[in-house]
Amino acid sequence: MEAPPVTMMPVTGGTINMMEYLLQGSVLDHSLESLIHRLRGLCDNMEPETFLDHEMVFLLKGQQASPFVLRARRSMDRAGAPWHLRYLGQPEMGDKNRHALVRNCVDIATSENLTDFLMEMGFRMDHEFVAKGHLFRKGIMKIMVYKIFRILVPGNTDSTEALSLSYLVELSVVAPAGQDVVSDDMKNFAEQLKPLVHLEKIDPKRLM
Amino acid sequence: MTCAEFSFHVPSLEELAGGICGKTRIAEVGGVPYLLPLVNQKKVYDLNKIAKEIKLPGAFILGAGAGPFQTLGFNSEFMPVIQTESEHKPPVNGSYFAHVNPADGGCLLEKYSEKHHDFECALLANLFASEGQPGKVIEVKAKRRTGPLNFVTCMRQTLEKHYGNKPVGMGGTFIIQKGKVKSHIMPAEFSSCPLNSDEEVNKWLHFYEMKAPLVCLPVFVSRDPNLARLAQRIDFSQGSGSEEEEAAGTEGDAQDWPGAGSSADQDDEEGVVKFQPSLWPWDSVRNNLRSALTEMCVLYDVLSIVRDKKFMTLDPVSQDALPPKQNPQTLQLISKKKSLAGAAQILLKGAERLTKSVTENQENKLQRDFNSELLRLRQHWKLRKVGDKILGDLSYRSAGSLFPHHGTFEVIKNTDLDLDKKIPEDYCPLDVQIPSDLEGSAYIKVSIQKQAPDIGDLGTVNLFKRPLPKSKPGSPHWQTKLEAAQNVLLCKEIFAQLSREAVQIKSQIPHIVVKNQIISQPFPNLQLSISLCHSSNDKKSQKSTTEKQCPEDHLYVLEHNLHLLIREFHKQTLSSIMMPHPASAPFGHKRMRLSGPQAFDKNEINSLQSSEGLLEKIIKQAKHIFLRSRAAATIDSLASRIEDPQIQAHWSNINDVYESSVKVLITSQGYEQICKSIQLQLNIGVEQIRVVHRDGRVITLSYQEQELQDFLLSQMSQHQVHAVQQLAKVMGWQVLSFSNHVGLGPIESIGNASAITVASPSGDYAISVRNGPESGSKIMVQFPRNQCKDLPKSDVLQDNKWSHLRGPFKEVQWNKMEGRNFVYKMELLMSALSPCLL
Repeated sequence: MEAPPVTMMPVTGGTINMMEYLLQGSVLDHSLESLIHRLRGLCDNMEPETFLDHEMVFLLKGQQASPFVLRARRSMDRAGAPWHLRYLGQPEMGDKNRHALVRNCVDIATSENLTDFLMEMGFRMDHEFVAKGHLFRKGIMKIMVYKIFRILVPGNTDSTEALSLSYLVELSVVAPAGQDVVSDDMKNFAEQLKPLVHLEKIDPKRLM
Repeated sequence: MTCAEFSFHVPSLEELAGGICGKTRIAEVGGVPYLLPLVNQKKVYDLNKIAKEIKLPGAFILGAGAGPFQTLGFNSEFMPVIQTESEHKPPVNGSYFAHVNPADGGCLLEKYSEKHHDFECALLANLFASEGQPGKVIEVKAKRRTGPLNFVTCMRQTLEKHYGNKPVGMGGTFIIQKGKVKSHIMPAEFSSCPLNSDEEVNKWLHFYEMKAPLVCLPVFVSRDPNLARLAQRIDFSQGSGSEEEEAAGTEGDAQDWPGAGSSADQDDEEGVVKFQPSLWPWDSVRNNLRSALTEMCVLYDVLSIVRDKKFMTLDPVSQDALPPKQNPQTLQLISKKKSLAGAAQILLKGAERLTKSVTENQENKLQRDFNSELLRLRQHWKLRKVGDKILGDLSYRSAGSLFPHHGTFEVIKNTDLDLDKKIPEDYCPLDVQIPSDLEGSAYIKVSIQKQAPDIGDLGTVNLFKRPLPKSKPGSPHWQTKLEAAQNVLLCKEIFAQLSREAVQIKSQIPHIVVKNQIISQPFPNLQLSISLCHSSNDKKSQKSTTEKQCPEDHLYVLEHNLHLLIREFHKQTLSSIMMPHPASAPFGHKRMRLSGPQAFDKNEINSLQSSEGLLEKIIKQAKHIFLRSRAAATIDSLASRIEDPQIQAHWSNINDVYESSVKVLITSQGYEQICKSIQLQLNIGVEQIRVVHRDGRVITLSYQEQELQDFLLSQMSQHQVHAVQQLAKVMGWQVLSFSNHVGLGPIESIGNASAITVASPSGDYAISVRNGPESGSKIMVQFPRNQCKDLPKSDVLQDNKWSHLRGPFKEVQWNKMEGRNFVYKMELLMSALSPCLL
């Protein structure tokens, strides 16, 4: 069985103990085909799914030095799907025994008037982008292979421009805190994707 | 560009070295090819290293070159005056560089050491190196210019004239005391487009007029030793074009003053190679070319004369030289024969080799090796390597099955083969070992029995019914083996799923699961049994084979449907996993994420969760099949039992698994066109039969066959009365009364009697028909009073006109009437009673 949906728990700070384990990598456009082919072989047997999402990142600046960041995401190709609001904590690299990046995460499905609600609360939009790609699943592991598009005119998702000539590959698992065992599975899976793509735990702080 | 460069400043030589003598050397570093047509920015040099390369560390170097753009950041002219590094002394750089002033475009001369502290130069340099000792030097004095050649060229030609082929180098310094000099400076930027001609180079360079005094650092060699040597190598005696080109290529290189890698170090007293005494290195080349030109001209002249055919003609030379005996034709024939024979031999050899390889291939095919078999196995089955074993997966797990059986088989190498004996034809080097519980063959058997068998022989019935086809002596092929095992696994999964549901589902009559049989009662007195028949190859099971059962009780449709259902079930487990959208959301059911005003209420969620199990579905299908077959049997028996009226059933060919329909027509033979009153549509469902009447009435019947029979009987009796009505219309009779359900007379056990009364066109006669499903038909005819003789005269009806009133009814003895059927008889009766219109 899957973990109970997060919405069932009280949404107060710090009590939600779900963690996202993450590995990242990227492939160039021309090798996307072979990666998809490999993933179709490795992942759960189901029709390959594509997705087209629009993500907006909202900031709330308070007295604290660092602003509070929330990510609102909506599916552009599935009508009627709920919006998704996500809070991501500070990523922890951890030691060598843990093979994946870990960060706190809170996932909530919401109705489509989410942006208005956030604006009313005092959030303001920092940036937005469109993600388009493929989605795979193996057990509890989720593999996203997608390209990020820059939105040329704010709010208009029709005119977009690819950010790079490569695809981002993310292998993620959402699990309760302390279950570092899942990172072993992730590492094994990442090993099987070599040398098509090297999935590593990438510290976002180092890239800044 | 010549090998000498002018510089125009007085360097204080004395502070560097006492002189320019002692182990003198000339070093040619880099070359013009690194500058033109495009710059090669990899070519940078260190003068200290050069000093070591020419085996004179600590040398005093002066000369000319290109400035170190790698340090300066721009291109410049370079005048190296350097005391290089040695064990005793640190290096001293007294070099100068000249470049174009970016501010005003003028010429700017700067001391290198004022800005930088390295000892580098770039691209090209003509260097004169010595120990810097004082010693004897040659002093040359020139008063004025007398010709087009410059000072250094003059000196070089003088040396060349004197020494001839022996290359002699010279280096040093001279001072221009008076007058002006035109000199160039390279611009700061390298040319981005290739400079292919002198003209372009001159355009690129900046030229300046410089005034005396100027100190110059010339370094030159009287003659390039390489050039002379290469010129000698040009061979005119051979006609091969490629060689000529090659020679031309090397010659071209030589002209470009190479020496990039070979920083030639020569003492000016020594000649390395001995040369033929000749004034000019190109002498031999020129002579050869000239003689070739002469010959070409002569040939051209001869050819042009011959072409005119005025003075000269060409005749073939007569072949008298051949010996007279040999006929040229026979000679030709012989040579042809020979060459043909040679060709044939080659062809034959090739054919032999081909046939050999073909037979070898065929042999290889017969001898199937393990690896190729494994490759073929991999094309169809999932394999993985665990330790030193190769394990395969024959389960349906990847297709969505949740059956816990691991379904693993092992691939083994078949080595138990006697090498001495002949290899059997079906020998396969690869064998598979399947789990023992998946061996043999299995199938699911579904049957419906009317009578519940004794509870005692449950369990053992229906098993091992089919004797196995005798297996061939050797082991079967792995493919068939694996397919059989997979089938066993699927059957087991179906049965496991069914028995689990049988235990879980609460039904009015509980399902019984005994051993490998599931018994359920869809209808009273009806038993559906689903059993798993698994026969393994061992003898014990074959002994117990019994042949009691007749093969008809197999419900192959249901067995097939069971397989379909389990596949559907598999598919469901696959598709129930939904991918989240947007992609960052966690996994889960999409609908569960709906919240707020669009959220589902409890009923909707309940309806989502309720799903029918495999057993429920198959029981429903069984019920439907049973109901359908029973309805068909009922209709058939009625049709065969009752000839009048006729009953016709039209079954639809394409049915749903839970519903099928039949159209029932009740007609009278010969009167199909006028009697169309009864058309019924029977929709046979799972539990009941819905009858749709032609006029839209819907009647629901239960699964009991008696209900359907009674209904059809009553419809048939009604049909007769309807037929009379239709007939009356055709015959011109008048309907006096009509009733489908007559409330009078004896009560029928099924349905109601129907009645009709029709009057003849003249009104004299009337016919009354009463027809009941059980009591049958009763036909009465009413006559006019005047035809009734036995009628007592009434006192009231005196007048004659009353005699036209209809009198009493008389029953017709129907079974004595002639006629095929009821409607025909009725037509006869009506026509008999109607007055003849003629």
